[in-house]
Amino acid sequence: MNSDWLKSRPVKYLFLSSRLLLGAVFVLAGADKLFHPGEFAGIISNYQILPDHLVNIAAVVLPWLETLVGLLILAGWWLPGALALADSLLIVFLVALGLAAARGIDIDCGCFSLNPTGAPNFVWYLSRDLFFLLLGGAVTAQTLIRSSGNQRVPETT
Amino acid sequence: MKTACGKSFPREALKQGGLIVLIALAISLSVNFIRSGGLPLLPSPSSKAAANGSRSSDEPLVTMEEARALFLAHGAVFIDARPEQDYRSGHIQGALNLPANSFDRALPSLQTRISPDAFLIAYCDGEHCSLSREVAAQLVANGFSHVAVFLNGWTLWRNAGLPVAKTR
Repeated sequence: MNSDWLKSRPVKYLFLSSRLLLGAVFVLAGADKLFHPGEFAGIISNYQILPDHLVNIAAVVLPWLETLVGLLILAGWWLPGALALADSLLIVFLVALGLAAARGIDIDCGCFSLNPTGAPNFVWYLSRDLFFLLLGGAVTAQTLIRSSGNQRVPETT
Repeated sequence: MKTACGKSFPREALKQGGLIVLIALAISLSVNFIRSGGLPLLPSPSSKAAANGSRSSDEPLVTMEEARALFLAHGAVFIDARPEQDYRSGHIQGALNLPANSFDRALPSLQTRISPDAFLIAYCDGEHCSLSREVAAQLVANGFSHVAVFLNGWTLWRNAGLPVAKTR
């Protein structure tokens, strides 16, 4: 595959801005929860998906994982691993939100803020998560193509 | 630490992803251990209050034994705070459904059936479920003066083999 177009300036900027946006989303999502694991545990429990003994562990670990993944994506380090985790987390969140919506559990999303002001809106939550998932997929695809493009360099010289 | 060239993407993703998860685990568990008010990671009775954190309300709690005694003596009305679908698939016998998400819609019907002086026990499912607390607080705000919360009520009730019912 000819990957010269990937080296054009507009594509580079598009890739950079998509990656920074995705990283910022994860850092913002994790930040508030880092300091309030008890409240986050309550939100996870309200989803009624995880068994009780896993709720606190998820509430403690998930914010750090989100923040770490976000920081790595922002910094451009360990991108294959960070992007794979970001995409996986977004799929898990999408499934959790979809299950809650399907079961009629009208709960706070707990995605970015632990103290939302408005009423829960699952259409908005799901659309937003789907957008982030598309963004994650696009950044992953770009990284994959660039990575494979870099691998071909020795073969052509 | 930059993306390595010459290595397959999936293999790199798997290796780095595993390391990131391990690092996140190490940091989060260490911080939780060090910080005051860290969450208990193993289930214990005291974890109930900790996990509910600032969402706790002033409504008193009833224990399993108290709930059983009140049920047998017909001394309380049980209020199921879970979504209607969960209520339909199984609830404490005689309990009324007042889902936290449709409280305002369901309240008028409840008010016509129950005296404001009745003793109400709100419950949901799971040690950390806050729906019962939310419903209890709203019941008090709407004029019911005797309201208590039965934490993890549905699971405890089922485990005790006490009477349950289903709604079609």
